[in-house]
Amino acid sequence: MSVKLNEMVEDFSAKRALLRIHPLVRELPEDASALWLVKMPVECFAAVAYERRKHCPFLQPRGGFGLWDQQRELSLALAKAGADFLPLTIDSHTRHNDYDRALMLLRQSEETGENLLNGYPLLAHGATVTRSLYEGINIPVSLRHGTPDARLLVEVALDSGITEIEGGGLCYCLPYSRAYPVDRALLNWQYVDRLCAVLSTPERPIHRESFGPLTATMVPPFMVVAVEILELLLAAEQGVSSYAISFAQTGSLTQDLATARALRFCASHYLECYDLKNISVRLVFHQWMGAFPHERVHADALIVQGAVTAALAQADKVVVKTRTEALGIPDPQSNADAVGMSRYAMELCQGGDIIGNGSEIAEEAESIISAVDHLLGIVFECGGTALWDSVARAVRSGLIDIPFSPHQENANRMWTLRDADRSIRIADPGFVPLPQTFLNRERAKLAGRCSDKSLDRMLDDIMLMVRQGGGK
Amino acid sequence: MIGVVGNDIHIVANRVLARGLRLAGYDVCNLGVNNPPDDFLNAAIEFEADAVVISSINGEGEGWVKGISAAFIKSGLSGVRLYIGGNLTVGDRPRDEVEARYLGFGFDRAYHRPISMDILLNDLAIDLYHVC
Repeated sequence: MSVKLNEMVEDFSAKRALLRIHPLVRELPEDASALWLVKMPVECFAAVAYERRKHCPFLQPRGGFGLWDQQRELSLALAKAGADFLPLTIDSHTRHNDYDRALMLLRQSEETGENLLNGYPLLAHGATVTRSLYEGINIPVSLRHGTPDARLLVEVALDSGITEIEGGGLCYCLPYSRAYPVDRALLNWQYVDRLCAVLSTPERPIHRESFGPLTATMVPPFMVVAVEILELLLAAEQGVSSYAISFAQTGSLTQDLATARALRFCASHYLECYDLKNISVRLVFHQWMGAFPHERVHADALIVQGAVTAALAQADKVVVKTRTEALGIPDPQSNADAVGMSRYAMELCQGGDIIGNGSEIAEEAESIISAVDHLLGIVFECGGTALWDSVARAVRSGLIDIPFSPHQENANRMWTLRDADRSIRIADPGFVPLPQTFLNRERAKLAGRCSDKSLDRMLDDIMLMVRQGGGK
Repeated sequence: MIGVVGNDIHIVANRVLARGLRLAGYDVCNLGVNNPPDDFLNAAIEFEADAVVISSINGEGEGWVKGISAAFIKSGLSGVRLYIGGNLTVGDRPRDEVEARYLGFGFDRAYHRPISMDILLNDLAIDLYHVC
């Protein structure tokens, strides 16, 4: 096994200066973020918070509004409701680097009072205004977006005192973009990783988090683990010292707990393989990310079941959903209720590793790990100048293939189905290289349903949580 | 012809819709996600579409499609049926109010948070083949 870890040779500070010429960023000098971060209380740093965590996983709600007042109100409400982390979710125009449109719609929203943005336009507001969002709130803020080129966005986020940056070259490109070149996305995120490393101090590290849910639609666990490990290695080689791998509730409790096990095992195994030891790794769980039930009782039960799963998986953090998920952007009250329900459910689940060592879960985890090892071994041999290059080649050759990705470089050849226990199984691997024993096991689990490509079956699998319990 | 309008990357329903329409016997041209309004017009001309089904999931549809019907008429495509569906507003508003607003933009049919694809299939059959 050989992989060439990249050393960036160019002068990073010159690169930054060039980027920060942008009119929406140049209000603050290049050293603004470092000067601001050093003045912030240490408890605002995600990495520090994780060090101090007791038994219960941390809770992070979701939410982003266009207008400053609304975002301030949401942040205060969430902090009051007991959130351990605050979200700052970015609008879709900023995510697509369409800053002018975001600014125009922000001005229009401010004039009419009608919100025309589906998130917070961070560049349009700027760092000075954004710092004031969090006055008097001393918990970490997490940047949530979906941006293949987030270099400017992250510059402004760090200027604003946001200490946790979500994303990565694969997880924020393949599920979120149709045409942004994957190799460029990987290089943009190399910049972000390096920036976070450069602005970290031992007392105040900037925390990076990957987005393991990907498209959150029928993605098999081995593919989630493989993507998470590749992005972890890419961040570690740039000097990131605090990092979280993540995944989303699959719909199968066995597979969820096995995925948590496999992620933890593979993370420490591959970091050790490449002698990347100066990084602490956390595990983040996303409550069900697929189509959400409309009925309040079903939505609430699903949220609680996700919380229980996270507690059993001993996750470090849970990103919660709300009962109004099916209705659009959640209001502060439903978010507060989701935090309360989840915390209560998780506190009821204390008692160590109760079922994590169950034989079925262990067997599933072993199977996932065997597929990850096989796939990554081949990705590392894809050639190129550095790991990011090998990864880009692996996507283009279909070795990395994310179901339901809208991206034109994604092969879309792998086909997955749920088995009788609702676990996601490989019906057709496409170009993804997998060991024969793994494929045989997957097919055995599907028990002859491999070739069912009907619309109804597809909808049943995707809409699992909506069609469950009489919702059909 | 189908596709998702705007800076909107929600692909799942788009893939399901394409499959459902094909299984119902339609010849489907799928533009996929992230389409500016002009792409629908250009593709409708090239594809000689009978109906254009636009989706918007992220709530920002209004700003993108306001002028689309006028643009179709201006290009001589007044015979092309225009449909829009998905999550058509930010926040929670009454369905009738939201749908009426889009009908006002010149759409033949609007579906705010539709429960099933069958509604569209029925309406297409009525509008294109006068089947009740």
